[in-house]
Amino acid sequence: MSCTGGIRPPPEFLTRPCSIEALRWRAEWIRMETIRQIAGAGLGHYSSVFSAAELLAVLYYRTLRLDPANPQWTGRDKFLLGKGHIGVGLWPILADLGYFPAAWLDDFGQMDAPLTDHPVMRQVPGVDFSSGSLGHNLSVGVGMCLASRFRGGDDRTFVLLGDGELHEGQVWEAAMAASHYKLGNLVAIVDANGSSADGPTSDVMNIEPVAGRFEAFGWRAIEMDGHDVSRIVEVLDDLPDARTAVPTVIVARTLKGKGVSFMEAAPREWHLGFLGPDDRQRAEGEIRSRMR
Amino acid sequence: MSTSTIEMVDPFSFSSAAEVEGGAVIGQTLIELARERDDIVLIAPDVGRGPATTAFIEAFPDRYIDTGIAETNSVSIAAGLAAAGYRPFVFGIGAFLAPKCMEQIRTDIAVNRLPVTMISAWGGLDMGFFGASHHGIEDISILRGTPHLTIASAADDVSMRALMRTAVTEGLPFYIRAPSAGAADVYDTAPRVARGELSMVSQGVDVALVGTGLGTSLCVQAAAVLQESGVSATVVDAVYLKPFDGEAICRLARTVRAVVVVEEHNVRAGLTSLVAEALGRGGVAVPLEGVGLPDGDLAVAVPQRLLARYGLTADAIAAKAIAALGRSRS
Repeated sequence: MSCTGGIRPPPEFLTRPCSIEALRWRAEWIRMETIRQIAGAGLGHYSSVFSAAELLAVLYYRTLRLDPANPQWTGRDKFLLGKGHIGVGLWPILADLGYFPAAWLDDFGQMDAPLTDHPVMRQVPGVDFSSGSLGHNLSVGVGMCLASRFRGGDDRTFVLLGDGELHEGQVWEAAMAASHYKLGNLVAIVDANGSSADGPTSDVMNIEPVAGRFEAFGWRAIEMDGHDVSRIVEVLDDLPDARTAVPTVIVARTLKGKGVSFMEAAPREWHLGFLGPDDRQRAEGEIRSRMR
Repeated sequence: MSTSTIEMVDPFSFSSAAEVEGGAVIGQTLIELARERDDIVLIAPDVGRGPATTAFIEAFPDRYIDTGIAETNSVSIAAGLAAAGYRPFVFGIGAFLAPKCMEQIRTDIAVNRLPVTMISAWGGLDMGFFGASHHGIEDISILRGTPHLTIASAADDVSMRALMRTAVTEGLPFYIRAPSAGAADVYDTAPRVARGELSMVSQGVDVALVGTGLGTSLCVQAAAVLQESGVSATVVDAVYLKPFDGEAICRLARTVRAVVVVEEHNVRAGLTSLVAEALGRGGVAVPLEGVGLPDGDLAVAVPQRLLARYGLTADAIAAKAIAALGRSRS
């Protein structure tokens, strides 16, 4: 592992799987790299990345079985970014793990550049499936898990969903199919940051109880604090064997804009935007203070 | 009402049991393919247990996924299987597959250039008895603007088998309209066409009849009617609607005095439109007639009655051809 963007991790953080302390550092680094990329692009999604930063850090630096030198390795775990608008948070991780040159990050969001706002599988090594239209990727994950079953594999497919994404009916078609086909190799993680475009998610259209709804569809459901790295590690380390029969949903309770005080206070205003120089300095200062 | 006083209507209204059972070629071809390769999977939203695919399911029960009545889920699941190295077929009702799943077809399959073959079964007016919801007559227009997607239409079983095999060989996103339940055989052997080419069925000098799907067998029959009147017709099968060989249409149109297009599709947004666009781009001035379904409310009835109502018969097509020739300058 190298490190991008000029922020170097302490040497002991460079070993994968990472320690709890290193994972906390990685989550902050994802936030810093997100700000840096968006500064170059002129527009991007901040607060939705920040709610998922700890989840992404633990998945990629501890949980997922990967071989970056062989992105198409059949036995790898797959990761689908259902909430595709946080591609900007995925890019520094994939670059850091060696899927593509770190210099690509500098061109995020530029015309003809490979790294786009939403991930495109044919463009970027390490992207297991494209996303952008909410509601599709849990179904795609069902297909990948069925493929693994056909092969007798023990790999998992993880799908990171937004909680607003649960409004999409297709999510529930997929949930029904996953338990029907006994896909214990499917893990859905809901980044329950409680925010949709029009307001608090459940004010727009009630999704609660999320865990209870998945349980009613035949899933095993776990609630956790999506910013508590120790707890995330505990839950993901403790997943049942992929060859078991019950799919797992992890409802990660998160804060949209987590880690930057003025984004936490106005998360929807920072869903899509651009930090001016003063705001960028404030945001980076807050994040950096936790990286020492 | 006593059942002794009324005879049950065959919803497909075709004469022989064999025709009603049509579609077995799909299952047989899937069996052939699955014997040759271990990556063939069939996905069907609660429509797999009919005559078309039952044989495959019985032969390869582990390679069949029933998604229940969830068409969009079936298309996205197919995309996931394809991304993981399989060659899935999605078998769905024509009235629902493209209209309901256009976005999954575009976003999950076509844009990602994944090797999924979608088969539209009982499309066109095959399910016309069941009402406007079951008319599958807009799929070409819905899908033709989708990048990387191949759209094909099988005139008969021989053509269907060839198209399914081509789809797997090419490994590209394919949408195939299965042959209409009422289509007569056009081919003894598979049409020798590469992806995107037209198939020349018979050559004449006066008028070109361009058909697709059911339209092709109707064109063959109309050519025979015209022959009796001394009119010589070329018959072309538009096997592929996308890519569409507009240059071949222009070359053909320059050899005749009129072009008649026949399609079991909305005539304002399907093959007739593709041909008109090609002729316009190519600067070919020739009388053009489209025989297809109106862009409006359709009647509801068994297919044969609907086809007769909208002029999708050999005699009506021949009459259109004579009328088009009457408009030609020479």
